[in-house]
This record gives sequence, C-alpha cells and structure tokens, in this order.
Amino acid sequence: MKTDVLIIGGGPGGAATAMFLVREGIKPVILEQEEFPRYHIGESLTGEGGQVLRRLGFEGEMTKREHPVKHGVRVFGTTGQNSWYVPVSARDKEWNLSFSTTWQVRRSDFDTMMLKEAETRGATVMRGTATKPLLADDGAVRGVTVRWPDGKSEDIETQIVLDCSGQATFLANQRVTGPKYVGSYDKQVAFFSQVTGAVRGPGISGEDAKDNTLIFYAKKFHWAWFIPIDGDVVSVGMVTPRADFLAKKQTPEEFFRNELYDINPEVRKRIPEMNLVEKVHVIPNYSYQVRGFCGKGFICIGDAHRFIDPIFSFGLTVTMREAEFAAPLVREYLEGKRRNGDNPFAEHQVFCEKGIDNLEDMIDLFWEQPFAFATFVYHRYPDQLTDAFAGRIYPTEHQPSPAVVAFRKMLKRTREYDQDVYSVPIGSRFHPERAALWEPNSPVATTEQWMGAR
Amino acid sequence: MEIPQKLKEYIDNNRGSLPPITDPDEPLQIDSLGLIRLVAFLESDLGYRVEDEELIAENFATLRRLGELLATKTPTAPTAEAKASAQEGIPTFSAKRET
Ligand SMILES: Cc1cc2nc3c(=O)[nH]c(=O)nc-3n(C[C@H](O)[C@H](O)[C@H](O)COP(=O)(O)OP(=O)(O)OC[C@H]3O[C@@H](n4cnc5c(N)ncnc54)[C@H](O)[C@@H]3O)c2cc1C
Repeated sequence: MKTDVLIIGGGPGGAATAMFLVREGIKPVILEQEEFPRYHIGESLTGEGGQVLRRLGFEGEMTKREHPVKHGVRVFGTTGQNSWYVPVSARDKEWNLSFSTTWQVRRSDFDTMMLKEAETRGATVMRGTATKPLLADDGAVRGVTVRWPDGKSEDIETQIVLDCSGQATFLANQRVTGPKYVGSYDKQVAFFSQVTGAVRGPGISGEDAKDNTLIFYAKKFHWAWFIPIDGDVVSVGMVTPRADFLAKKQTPEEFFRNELYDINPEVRKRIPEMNLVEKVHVIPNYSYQVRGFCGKGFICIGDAHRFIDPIFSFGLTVTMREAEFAAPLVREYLEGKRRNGDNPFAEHQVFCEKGIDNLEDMIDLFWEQPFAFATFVYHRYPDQLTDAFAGRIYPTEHQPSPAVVAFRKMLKRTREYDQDVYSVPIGSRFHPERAALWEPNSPVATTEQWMGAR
Repeated sequence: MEIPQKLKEYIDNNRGSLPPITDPDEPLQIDSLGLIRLVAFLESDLGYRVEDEELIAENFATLRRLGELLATKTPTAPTAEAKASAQEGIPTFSAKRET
C-alpha cells in the first residue's frame, strides 16, 4: 500500500495533525491500533488547547456535548486552607490579555469525536499496529510495516511518517530518532480513577466555577488532581514517588483509597466518599525526552517525543499545537522543498523544544521553590504566568518571558540551542545515572521494559 | 536589627488572633499566602525590592531573619502604579475581571 502521509496513532495529536493537513490540501492515512472509544488519561485542556479546538471549528460541538467549562486552576497549599488561582486567559493579535475559558474532556468521548471528524474531513483511518519502520539507504523513513488485526502484515510506503503514538514513542523505540532520555520526574507514579458525588465549586465563573481544575499540593512530589469530566463524574488522580508505593506493599487500588485523603485535608471535603466508577489506573515513568525527534521522512508529535509531568495539564495542548505547527511544513516537504540537508525539520524541532523547555523550567521551579513560585503567580509575574498556564510557551509568544528568565536564574540553569548541545535533558545533565535509555551502558534494553508494570 | 514600625504593625495585624510579636526569634506564623501579601506590602508600600532569589520562606521566618534581609536594602519611594495595584489586592492580572 502507498500514501503520501502516514500518521501513527489516532489520539488527539494524530487526529489534530490529520485535520490541519486536510486544511493544507493533504489527505493522510491514520493508523490506530485500538478500537475507539477507549479509556485514556489527560482530561484537562489549557486556554490555548481550547483555542486550537476553536480554530479547528469545534466550539459548537464542544458546547453541544456539554464538556465541562474550565475557567481556571486552583492550587491548594499543604494545609488546604489557602489556595492560589490562575485564570484561563487568551491574547488577541495585539497581545492584549483577556480572561477566557477552555474545556475538560472525557477522553474516550473526545478522542472518538476528534478521530471521526478527521475521517469526515478526508483522512483515512485504519485499524492496525505499526511494528517496524522502513528505511531508505540514507536513513530516511520511507514507510512502516503494519500488523493488521487479522495478524497479517503489510508494508505501507510513504513520503513522510508522523509519529503520534503517544507514550509508546514508536520511532524512538525503533531507534530512528536520537536517544531517548529519562526525564526529571521519572521516579513518580500516577494513580487515577473517576468518582461520583464530588463537591465542586459553588460558582459559575472565576475562582469558584464548578468545573475548574483543582490541584492539591502535599509536599514535594506528592499531589492530587480533581478534574470534572461531565455533570456527575470527576477524574481524580494522585501522584507520589514510586518508593512510597513499593514500601506499602498494597495493590494500586488499596494504595489509592488509603492514601488519597492524606494528600491534603481539602481532598476529603471535595470527595466525601470514594465512589469509584472506573478502575484504578497506574502509570509509572511518564517523564522522558527524545532527542532528534525530526528528520528525513519523519516528525514526532506530542507525547511521541516528550512528556515532563502532568501537574499543570499541558499534554493535549502541546500535542495539538505541535500538530498545527507541523502541517504546513509537511505540505512543503511533499512539494519537494526541504529535501536538502540532514534534517528538513531542524527549525521546527528547536522551536518545539524551546516551548517545552519553558514549561520544564516552570514545573521545576514549582517543585523546587513553591513559595517563590506562588509569589510569582500572585505578585511578581501574574500576566506572564497566565500566559504560561494557558500554554503560550513558544518563541513566537513573547517567550522566554521575564518569568521564565527568573525561573532559570533561580534554578541556576542556562539553555543553549547550538546544533549539538541544545536541550541536553536537564534531568540527565544533573543526574549522571540517568543515562539515555538505550546507550550501551544502559541497564534497560527497551522502553517497554522501563515502563514496567503497565 | 531595624524593623520599620509600619512593617511591625503590618505583621502583628496579619497573624490572625495571635498576640503581637515580642521575641525577634519567634516564628512569624504567617501562612504562605500571607507571606506573598507581605512581599507585596514590602515592595508596594514600603518600597523595598525583594530579589527573586530571596523568595525563600526561611527569609521570612522570624523578625530577625526579615531584619537581616532588609538590612541589605535601601527602600525607594513606592511608585504610584505599585501602590494602586497593592490596593486592588492580589493577584493583579492586567486582564479585565470576569463578570
Ligand atoms: C497521569 C497523567 C495525567 C495527565 N493529565 C493531563 C491533563 O490533565 N491534561 C492534558 O492535556 N494532558 C494530560 N496528560 C498528558 C496526556 O495524556 C497526553 O499528553 C496526550 O494524551 C497526548 O496525546 P497524543 O495524541 O500525543 O498521544 P495519545 O493520546 O497517547 O495517543 C496515542 C495513540 O497512538 C496509538 N498507538 C500507539 N502506538 C501505536 C502503534 N505502534 N501503531 C498504531 N497505533 C499506535 C495509541 O493506541 C493511542 O491511541 C496526562 C498524562 C499523565 C501520564
């Protein structure tokens, strides 16, 4: 089989990529290994995540489907008595700031809506698993081998592969990309489920709006989230260091039920009873970074190349924004441009990397210096922080802002983007034991093995 | 250690029901949000500039620590803009309030 563009993965990254490509006049094939609807974590959008959906024409549909409207994020301090709040915001062309709203989504519904709509707009969706990349003599990706549900395999020849495979990091695992590094939050484990009967905010807008994201901070690396995903159900998750979980010798569900209330006194007020309506899911080792994630014949998008930490809900935003940035470049590539040189998408790669580096500096400062961070949010850089929380993180968006510059100063960190040394993963740089996952000295052979008990 | 009278009053008035501080080594017992307000007060009302690197809770733990921090600084007259924003309360996003 042959197609110009093959997208691996039909999650929000793959579906958004397909819809932005259709706008460029390209009809891609999306390969998705799972039957939709399927459960997935990652339910809260940022302001700019909402804007991507508006640009794709989903505002009416999102409203019709009654996805909860998010006005902001409220973060409760250790005792539960104090909280700080960051409103969802937007910028117009003149960069004037205004308050805005975005959505919380039940991923099984949202992802199905996105994938179906990509198909309606002209993409071809096929059920199957990419198993091996096909490489040309010069190392360019020229397709993939696919295993169909009936067990048969077939080669799909393409001009370009867009890897939207999420944490499966297909091309990185196949070593088509540069090395994959362990991220700074690799010792964390997330436990999550859904509850009914939770107590939401009393208001309809602002800080007390009923469908806002709540974050409960306990101490460094211990926190929980509360994200309404429909009129009845709230997604609840808890993140702790892996060592804490192993020490207790409990099943994930026991651990979740036993520990959640200890995170913060506010949790019990918000979730008076643990009516779990979904099994307790576990994801360890979600923090990683792939270098060289673009090259001849391929671009990795979203989680397929990097994920830091779920604390401020940036995953969907990043994957959909990268989809939007990549689409015109893919068109140019198909038109025969960008065919010289080692990496046709080098600029895109650094552009995306800089955006996520800005997020990483923000998240790291939150964990390292919570008091300074809260002072920045409330007093020093409120506007710049609403920008970052809204996902305006890229070099075209007044970044690095004075807030990010301050984060770096406090973290004693510099970022350099020369061809060779740019963006050496911070976690790896400061922790020599965090070797690239598949360097010769790495004790871990594959990402699957590293991902452990998934 | 010199603690400006206005600052001492501000702290004593912002410790809930706790009595005024008499011992310079007594913990201020101001919660984290209160500390953020204290930083805003120092900067906007008293004209001290607290550097980002100084925003560690320990620097605000006791009157003595606070005095040591301020001893390194010369206050300037607060700007009209800073004063206005402090009066509106925090946070002071430049966006219009939601209605
Ligand atoms: C604990 C936790 C909490 C999170 N909370 C949030 C949040 O609140 N907000 C937020 O925005 N983000 C959150 N995220 C991140 C979010 O889940 C991801 O960033 C987002 O799902 C990425 O979308 P994607 O389309 O890139 O990948 P995915 O949504 O993972 O989609 C990848 C798709 O590719 C398919 N696939 C994989 N390999 C193959 C293959 N070989 N062949 C064919 N198909 C394949 C998979 O079946 C899957 O459907 C969270 C993440 C974690 C771990």
